[in-house]
Amino acid sequence: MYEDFDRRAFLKVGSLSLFGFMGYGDILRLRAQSPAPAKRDIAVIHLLLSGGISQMDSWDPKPEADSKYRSQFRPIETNVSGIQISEHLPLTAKNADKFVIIRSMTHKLVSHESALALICSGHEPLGTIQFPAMQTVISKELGPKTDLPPAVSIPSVTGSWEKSGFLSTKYNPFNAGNPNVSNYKVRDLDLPMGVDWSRMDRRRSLLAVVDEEFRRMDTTGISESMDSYYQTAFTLMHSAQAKKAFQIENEPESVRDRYGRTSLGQGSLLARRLVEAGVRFVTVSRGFNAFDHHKNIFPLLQNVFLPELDRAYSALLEDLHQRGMLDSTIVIVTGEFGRTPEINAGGGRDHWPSAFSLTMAGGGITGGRFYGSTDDKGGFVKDNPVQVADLAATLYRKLGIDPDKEYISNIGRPVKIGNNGKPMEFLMA
Amino acid sequence: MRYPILIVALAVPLAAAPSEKPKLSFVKDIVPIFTKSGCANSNCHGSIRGQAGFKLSLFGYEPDLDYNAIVKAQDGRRINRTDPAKSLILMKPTFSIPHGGGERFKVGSLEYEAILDWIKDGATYDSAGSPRLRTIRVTPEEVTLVGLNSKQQLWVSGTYTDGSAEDLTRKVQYTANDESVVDISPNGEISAKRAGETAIMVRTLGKAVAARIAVIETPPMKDYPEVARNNFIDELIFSKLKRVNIVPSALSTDREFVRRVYLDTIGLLPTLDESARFLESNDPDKRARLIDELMARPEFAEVWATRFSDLLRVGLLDQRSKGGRLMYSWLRKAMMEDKPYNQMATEMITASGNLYFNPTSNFYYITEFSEPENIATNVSQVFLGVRIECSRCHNHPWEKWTQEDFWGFAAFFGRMGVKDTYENDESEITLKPAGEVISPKTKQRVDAKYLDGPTETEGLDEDIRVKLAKWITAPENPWFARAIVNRVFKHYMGRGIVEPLDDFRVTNPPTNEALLDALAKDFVANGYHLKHTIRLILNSRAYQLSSIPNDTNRADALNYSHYYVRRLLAEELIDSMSEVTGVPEKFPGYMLGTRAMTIPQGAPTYFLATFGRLKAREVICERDNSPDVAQAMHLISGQTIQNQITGKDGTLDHWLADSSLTDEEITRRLFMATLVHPPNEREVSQVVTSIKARGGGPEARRQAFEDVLWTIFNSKAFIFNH
Repeated sequence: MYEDFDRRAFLKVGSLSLFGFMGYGDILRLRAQSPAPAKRDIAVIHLLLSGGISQMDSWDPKPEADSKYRSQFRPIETNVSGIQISEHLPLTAKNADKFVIIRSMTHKLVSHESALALICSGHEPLGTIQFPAMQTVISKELGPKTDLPPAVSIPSVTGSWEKSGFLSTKYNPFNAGNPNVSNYKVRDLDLPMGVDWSRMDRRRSLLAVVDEEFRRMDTTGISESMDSYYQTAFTLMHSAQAKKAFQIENEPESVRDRYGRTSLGQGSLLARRLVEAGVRFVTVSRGFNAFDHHKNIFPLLQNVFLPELDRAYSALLEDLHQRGMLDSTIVIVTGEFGRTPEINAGGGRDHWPSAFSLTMAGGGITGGRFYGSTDDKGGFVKDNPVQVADLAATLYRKLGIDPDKEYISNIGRPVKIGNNGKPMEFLMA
Repeated sequence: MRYPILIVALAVPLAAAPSEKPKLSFVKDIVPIFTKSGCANSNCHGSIRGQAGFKLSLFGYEPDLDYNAIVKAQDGRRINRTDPAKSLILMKPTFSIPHGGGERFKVGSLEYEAILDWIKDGATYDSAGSPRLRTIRVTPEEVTLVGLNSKQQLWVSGTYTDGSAEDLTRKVQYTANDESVVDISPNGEISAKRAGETAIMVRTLGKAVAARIAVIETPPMKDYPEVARNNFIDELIFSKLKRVNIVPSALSTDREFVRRVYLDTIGLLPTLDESARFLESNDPDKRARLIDELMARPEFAEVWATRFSDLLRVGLLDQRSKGGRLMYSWLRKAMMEDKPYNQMATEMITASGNLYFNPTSNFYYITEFSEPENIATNVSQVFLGVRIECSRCHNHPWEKWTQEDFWGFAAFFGRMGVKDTYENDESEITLKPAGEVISPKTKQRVDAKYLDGPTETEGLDEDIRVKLAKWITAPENPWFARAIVNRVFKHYMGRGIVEPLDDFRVTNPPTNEALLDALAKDFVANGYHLKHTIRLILNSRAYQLSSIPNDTNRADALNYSHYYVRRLLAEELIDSMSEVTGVPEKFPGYMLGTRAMTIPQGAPTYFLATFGRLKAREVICERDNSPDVAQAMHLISGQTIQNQITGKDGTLDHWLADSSLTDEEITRRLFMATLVHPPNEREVSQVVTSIKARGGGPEARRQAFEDVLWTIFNSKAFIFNH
């Protein structure tokens, strides 16, 4: 169960035991003191359904609920008996054996910004401390694998909650842009028009001369810091590997169609390419607050949002599976909260953090299961509540990072990256 | 249950001989041990949830809770009266049995003996009239250590509510804010590790004080040079520098000064004419005159409107940009007329009404859900520079604020509400007929209470915020004036005297208490006029020092020994580039020719967002101006810079068409317009060579100068103010 448990430490302490017991706290403490777990090369793709997807209309159907609460959508069978999801996720239903549905995530934050900060970092935001997002922690702990930045957001970070917080900005995710446009190009990655590398090199050599004077007077180390960012920028611009990874136009039309010609669809496809090229954490969103359906939720979900998600997610799972990449890639699909069981006057649902659903696949997770359940309306957790910190702890452990590792925050307060979350044991196998 | 214990307590002294050692007090003697040994820290038993089922009050603030936890909880299993040495409360911290926190003190130590004696004496709680700790003092409060490895003993005394005093030196917990500068022993002995400055936090029983320590490697210089002083700011800065053996840098040259002061005051570069006029003038007071001229310009007010908009975070929510614009205009007007800051603050704190008609009401509309507790945090941070947020859930770890303090302050805003009219997306800040704040701890209604002050009992059916505004802006308020002068100081000097700007607390002392105090007093005495204080700062020699360090001040980042280099703001960068090239940058939603510094809020272009301007719905406190890869890439090959350097019919084309201008002259002008210093020979020859290499001719010239512009805009001398 505790695969990295240090036996020797246990024995050393155990022999002194007068009362003959070790509390759970003691075991956790020992585990934190034991040597760091081996780092594993697992990548993460996070489909961030910013705005908050409604759980009873997607992953957690409640067909028996009263009409005041009930989804207009029926549940359908999946390829796993006993698991049903919304009828508007049919392609996904054929892949239920690949993912786990967690129906019992819960927290208390009702505003988008704070809930997004929580879901991206595992910590509830405080005015005084800027917690780093998980992808930036991973960026810091594991570093880049190849020429590509370790963390990428598609089309761009939805907000500061995806960024490095009190860590250095060098861990910030790289914004890839929206791959669903014709002639998609990464911003500023190519040389400007009319400038070739020899002209750029001439510019750089003049710059080196002009910068000499400043370097003499600089005491803050800002010169070195700027230089390192310029260096990274030029390396990225020079890198054939990076260029190739972003060339989504190299994908066959049939594949691009299968994912769907939407920002979520092409974003998921690009995410696969980036993971193949060595990116460790890719966040794909459909833009800030796209799923925030306070009005007309049923036509919106039925006609646009669920089909898009269905196409993109199922394509991603199938594609990763076929390429043998699923074992080394974790795919998470979640919003920052769920939506109210009671349908409002505008035919929509409002923010609801008390119970919501997410799915997880890959990285050695055995799919075809669900965990946790909610009451008859999908509003409150009935069993096995899961905290967001548990998600963070799980991810870190899966990637071989110790969730109890402490950083010193910007106000000098020590912060455990996993925020005391418990890794979800049912996902560890 | 209590009585049997009391009887035992009474029985013991009767049986004891008169010459026995004094009976230990749980509050005075035992509780501090758990603070000192780190047990009651926020990351262990003092955390909100406690640790391993054992919860102590954070830093011993609530000894009655601690008593329950230690003696009564879980059927009293932590105390063993028949065999005191086998008590869990002793076995665990001495690691005699497994303890997640390791060994906190040794068997036989003072701490161990005290707890053991206390248990043997019956493990009693002090009686109701027992003296409580009232204040603690540390001596010396401020000291400079000379020489690495030199030592200094701190002494800590405590006074109690019965008037008694006690030496607490060995009982309190010591922590150095910066452990690379000094080590501090558990008994309060400091040893110097490296030259620098820090503070030592001293804590016990919920009280905290700080000692300010400076370390210098060699004794104070005998031949310390005389340094001219322009005003009291210089007096206080330079006397501190002398004390820590740091010699300030030389005065900036006129070239350095003119570029710097233009950017710092109006966010723009001086034009070629403006810089020529200044550099050629022989007026001995030209710097002071220039400062006056710049402060009278509308751009000066626009810079401050932008700065305040950042701080107040107004208009950043969707559909509220109209309110943000209104607020910006109000701020700009206030700065133009030098409206006293206490008046500005009062108008904001007491604001209500429609966001689109009452500019100051936008002060309250910064998050979607404006609960009293969120408002309290914001008001405290913005106007007092005090972060009370931590004490929302537990007593503040490093400061005296308790949950009662927090909710008492929040109670001032209990009647506030936001009414959405749903017409034209208008909202109103309103006062409900009644409203109260309930403490989550006691579940009772909380009375409005000033921070570190009394409860407000009068005028409760009127707008109680009027009284709050009076208290905040009163000359006696310990924070209001200090917070704003600190912020203004940072804007020009690169670093606040207290950092972070909104983190004033006893355990985060100012780097120069005398300076902050003098600035605040002077500000109040001069009617809270911001321009007055700004003028003083700009005219000080300290502001005008060169940014080039000398050997004594190279490592100084705290004491203003030289000008601290800073990256230009996003607005300053784009506005300056545009001004030089004559190519305007188009901001969506605004007329062509609009300067970024006049855009009220939001980041309508990628450039502005990437270089740190706050976008809609961000909830961060201070702008982040640190460089990153996206900024580098955008300057290297982004569309913004392409537009600027290839844009037609701007300054460059104008000069290229002028046959009286040589290539050398154009190069000189470009450098002067952007960096205010002429190119050196190497720089000029590289330009000329590159034109020749391309075969000469107008196309080659154009391209070569585009490269020069690219280089200058990417150079650190351009991107930074220095």
